[in-house]
Amino acid sequence: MRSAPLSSRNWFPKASAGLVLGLTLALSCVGILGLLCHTNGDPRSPASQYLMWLVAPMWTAVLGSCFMFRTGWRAWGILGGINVLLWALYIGVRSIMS
Amino acid sequence: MKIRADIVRMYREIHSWVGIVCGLFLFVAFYAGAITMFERPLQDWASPPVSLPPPVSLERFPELLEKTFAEHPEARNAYTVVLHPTPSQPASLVWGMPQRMHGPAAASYSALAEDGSLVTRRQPPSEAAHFINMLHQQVGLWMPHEVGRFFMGVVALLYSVALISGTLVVLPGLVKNLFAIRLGQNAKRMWLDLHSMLGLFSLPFHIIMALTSVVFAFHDEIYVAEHALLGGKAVHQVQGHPHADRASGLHQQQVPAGEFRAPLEPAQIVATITKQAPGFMPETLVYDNSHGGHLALRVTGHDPRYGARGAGGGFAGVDPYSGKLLSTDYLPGHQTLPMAVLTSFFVLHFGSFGGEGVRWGYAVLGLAGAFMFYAGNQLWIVSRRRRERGSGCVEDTRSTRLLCSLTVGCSLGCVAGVSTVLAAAPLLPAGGEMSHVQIIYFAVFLSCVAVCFCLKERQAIRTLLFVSAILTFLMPISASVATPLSQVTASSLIVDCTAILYGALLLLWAIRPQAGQPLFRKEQPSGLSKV
Repeated sequence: MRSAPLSSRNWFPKASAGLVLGLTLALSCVGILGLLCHTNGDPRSPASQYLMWLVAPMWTAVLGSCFMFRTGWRAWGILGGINVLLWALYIGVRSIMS
Repeated sequence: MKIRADIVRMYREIHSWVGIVCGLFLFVAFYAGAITMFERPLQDWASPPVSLPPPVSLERFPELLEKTFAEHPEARNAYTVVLHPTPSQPASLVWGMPQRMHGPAAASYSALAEDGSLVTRRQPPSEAAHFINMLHQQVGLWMPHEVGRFFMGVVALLYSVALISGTLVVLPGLVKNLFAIRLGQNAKRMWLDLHSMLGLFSLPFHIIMALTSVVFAFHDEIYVAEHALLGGKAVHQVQGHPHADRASGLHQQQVPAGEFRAPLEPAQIVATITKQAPGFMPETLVYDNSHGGHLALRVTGHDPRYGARGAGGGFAGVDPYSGKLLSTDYLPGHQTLPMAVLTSFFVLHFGSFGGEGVRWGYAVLGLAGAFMFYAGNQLWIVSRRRRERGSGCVEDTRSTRLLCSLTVGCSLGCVAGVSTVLAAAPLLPAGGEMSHVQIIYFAVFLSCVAVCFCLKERQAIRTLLFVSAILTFLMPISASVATPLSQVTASSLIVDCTAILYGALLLLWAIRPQAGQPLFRKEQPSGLSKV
């Protein structure tokens, strides 16, 4: 499966990828789901409160698992790629719905 | 359960470094949080008695209101009718609070004397219990609230990483080590077993706390982002707190200009509320006239059958003229399903469900959590020390010594500081102003840390535990000095008894021959734990 064993030595590039890209990844999901269920982001509505609560588990899950990437570059690359896909999806959904 | 060895090793290293960075902050957060479970009883306990006539009966409220408004017209702007006065809200009518309140605030209290004349006292609140809550929210640091919230968020993120990595480390040996607490073998094994057992058995509690703390820290920013992503045409300004003070402005009664309608009497309001929401026990009626001159009413209270969104209870927006429920979004038992589920997230953090039993359970879980962080730090120290001994060092290296002093100093400093604040609060003017209480706490905290740098570990633990025990024993004494015995309430007596029991526990721990070790160990392994 993988050749080199994982180590905690290159933690900084991996953790920073998890911190930054994990947050943007969670926010992109908030955007997509929010568009699909027609909420306007008003913190009084239950839908946007649920979306707000969605961020914490997604963010922490990415932050906790980003150490499984073999290198920092891979972490930034793969998480960045997922981000690009999701944000493109968000823009797509937004342009369809408006 | 099999996990590849390199993964386990990597996560173990991550776990110990993350733990060492945030462990002491989390200790303070958990210890202060456990005490905050009793914020209300402690505030009642610390509030000095006010010389006021006894609270009026429900039927005489109109008279009290009328006389107060005649003498103090400004009271009309915002006033609160307290149905069951307590030492921290000692009168039936409270008014003159500042507009936006964070925690307790100075207020005027009105009551009727026997001859029917109005008696009004203005008094600042006791802020000792609120200070401990702030300590909990800001992980034990003294900084502006916004910065503290952000810092707490960072600690909460680290905490969640520590939880994930810690769980992964424990999983492979789960079945073998589950109930094993090897006290006799050596110090490292003992701390490791205690740390992982506490962590594993309270894992759900810790997951809840980690996720809710991340939310509490960053909700404003997330809402701003959400609004930017979804809002498009800005409908509403994103407001401060999502879970407080929101519904207040929404439910004003539209009264045609020029027509004056008298609001219902408090007794009628209570009667209509109990008819519409049976089981809900109203506690205060909060009137607010400041939103465009329309009177808005919010009824706070609790329902023993349901959890409440806030730590103190739920509330309903009520029409002050007819007593009709206008908003039940935060009324326990009358929420829509989505709102009730959202409420459950808050409830799980605050432990505001299931009554006193759950409250005590949460306090125990919080203390156990704090002890888990202490055990984690001790484990780090002990294994470091062992490695250093293995490589031939006789004395601790400077970094081991630094961490050892910080661990004992910060954790026992927090214990001693909280006890001092509570012991001093009844004697301070107004039951403890925020600035006084802050100075006292941090002076004690820092001197405890200093003591740990001067004394040897075992000696420092013994001294600090002894001092904390004495300070805790002082709580009932200072309370009895401030409040005459005739005015003591049942809840204050419970606080006094708990303080005595807790002080005795600390004392017991201090005078044991193995001071600082959580449990008795029969054999002393060769030189490792002698410091």
